Amino acid sequence: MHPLTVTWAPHIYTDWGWHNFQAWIHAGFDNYLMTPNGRVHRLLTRLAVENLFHPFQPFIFGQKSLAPKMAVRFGIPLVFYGENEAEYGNPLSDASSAQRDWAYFTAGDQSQVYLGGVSIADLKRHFAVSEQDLIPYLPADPVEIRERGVEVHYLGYYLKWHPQSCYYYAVEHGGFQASPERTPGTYSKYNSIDDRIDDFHYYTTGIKFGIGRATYDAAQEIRSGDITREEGIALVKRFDLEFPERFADQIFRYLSIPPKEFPEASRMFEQPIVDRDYFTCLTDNFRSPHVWKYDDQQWRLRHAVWHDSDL
Amino acid sequence: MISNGVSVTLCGMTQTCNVTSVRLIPRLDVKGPNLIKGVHLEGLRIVGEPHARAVQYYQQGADEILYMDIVASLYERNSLSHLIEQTVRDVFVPITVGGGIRSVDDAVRVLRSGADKVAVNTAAIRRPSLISEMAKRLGSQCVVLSIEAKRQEAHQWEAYTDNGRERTGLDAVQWARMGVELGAGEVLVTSIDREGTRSGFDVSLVQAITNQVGVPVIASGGMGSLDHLKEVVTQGHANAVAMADVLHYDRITLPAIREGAAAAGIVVRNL
Repeated sequence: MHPLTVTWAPHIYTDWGWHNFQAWIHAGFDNYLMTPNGRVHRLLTRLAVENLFHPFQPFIFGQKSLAPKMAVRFGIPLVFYGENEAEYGNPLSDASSAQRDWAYFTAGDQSQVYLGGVSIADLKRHFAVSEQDLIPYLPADPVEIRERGVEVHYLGYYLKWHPQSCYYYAVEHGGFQASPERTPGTYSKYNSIDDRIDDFHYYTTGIKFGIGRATYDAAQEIRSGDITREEGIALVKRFDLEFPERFADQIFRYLSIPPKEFPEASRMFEQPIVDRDYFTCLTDNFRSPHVWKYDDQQWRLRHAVWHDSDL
Repeated sequence: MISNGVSVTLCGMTQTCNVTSVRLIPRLDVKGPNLIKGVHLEGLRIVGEPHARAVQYYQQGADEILYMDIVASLYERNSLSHLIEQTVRDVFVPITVGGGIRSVDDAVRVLRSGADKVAVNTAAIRRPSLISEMAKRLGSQCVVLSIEAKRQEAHQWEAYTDNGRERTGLDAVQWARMGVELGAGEVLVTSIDREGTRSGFDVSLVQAITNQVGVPVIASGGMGSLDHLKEVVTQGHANAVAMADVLHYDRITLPAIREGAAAAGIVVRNL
């Protein structure tokens, strides 16, 4: 097989992420890298943080629609993504089929589509976003998908999905290198390391749902038999929900919508510039009350997996 | 040497350290009951049972055994005492134990369990005087400075802790020199870039350190073939070579390594 690889770019590449990406291509693949308009992507990402506390939402729209659209364009009938999101806690019903649910990346009626918690109509009306700006985020036309017979499958449906084995394979065959440092909020350094905003993806998830990146990593490694539950609990206690300090200032700048760069859109924000205080305030607004309590001058989880352990 | 509190320094000067034979040291990273192995010290995989492997390697002619407790930093303690006690009943070559040694008392506990040498990394970086305290109480001959080094640019390496996860900002080569000045009797240098990759040792790292210190240096990380061994000994001037992947995954046997080393003109212990 000679697969064409397509990549939806990280918001801000880490140095090692870019290095790994290049090494992968040079290991023997053709690749198209789609990098969305940085200004539009920043605005949509900010809105997603502001409204949903979900910095990756616009990214995911782009990522999910890119491969089918490229397949239609090049007349390639078979598309593969990696693992099913159900591997990491999405509804199990998602995993009942090898094929992706068409509803994810096709939509007949654009008025039904929201990005970053704002309807497309409002994005155009109030945020100076044009139709053209949104093309990368919009799904493939379902009619074209049908006519071309494009099918989108998950590789994890056919091969046992074991991230550690993927890491070993990538080192052996793709010139992949682990990150030069532990990822904040967890103990690992081999997965999800190419985007500087990734730290905040897991941090915001942790604020909303009470489980951070160490929980995701440990749970997956316990299921895969790589670590014991006891060790997993200790790792969660030590690392989960650690504030991702290393790229914080850069990410706050990325999420800021200064009037000079965004004359219209910046007017729509109570505070266009994201600084630490504003981010903290936003964080506290998204703490679900059944997950968090404010106690003795600090936020504490009502329930944590290590509460019942000897640790 | 533990009880009398007298400092015993075997390797005070370069000249005395020109050991005649290069030591072949199986390195066993241990997590709980399991022998584990990673790549770049990451993606740790369970590969066996440490005691059984130690015995096997001893019987195959290992010159020493190296045990590293990989979860020690997570639990803030070394928990290999039981394993060491078990191992010394069956293994009669020197055993070095590292991971979670925070104090002289921790080191004493490990030695009393039967270890011959103690390796320190994190605690020594946090408090370098620990090396002197250990050397004074236990003797330099049993204090191994363990350095996890990652290449930053040409001829510069940063020292790491926590199994290659946390940066320290310390220059690995300078830290090696300082550690030896403080009393370390041996340096174990692990290349994070090469570890688990079987792509050869970071020879210039090993060379940079052997140039700077007058005590034996154990090269670790990257052994994939006999050529790698020869390279790190002849060009890097390593006094000993630690190996894990090649042995744990049965890629080359210890007798074959010893034989190959001898054939390549490297002086190894004659069994």
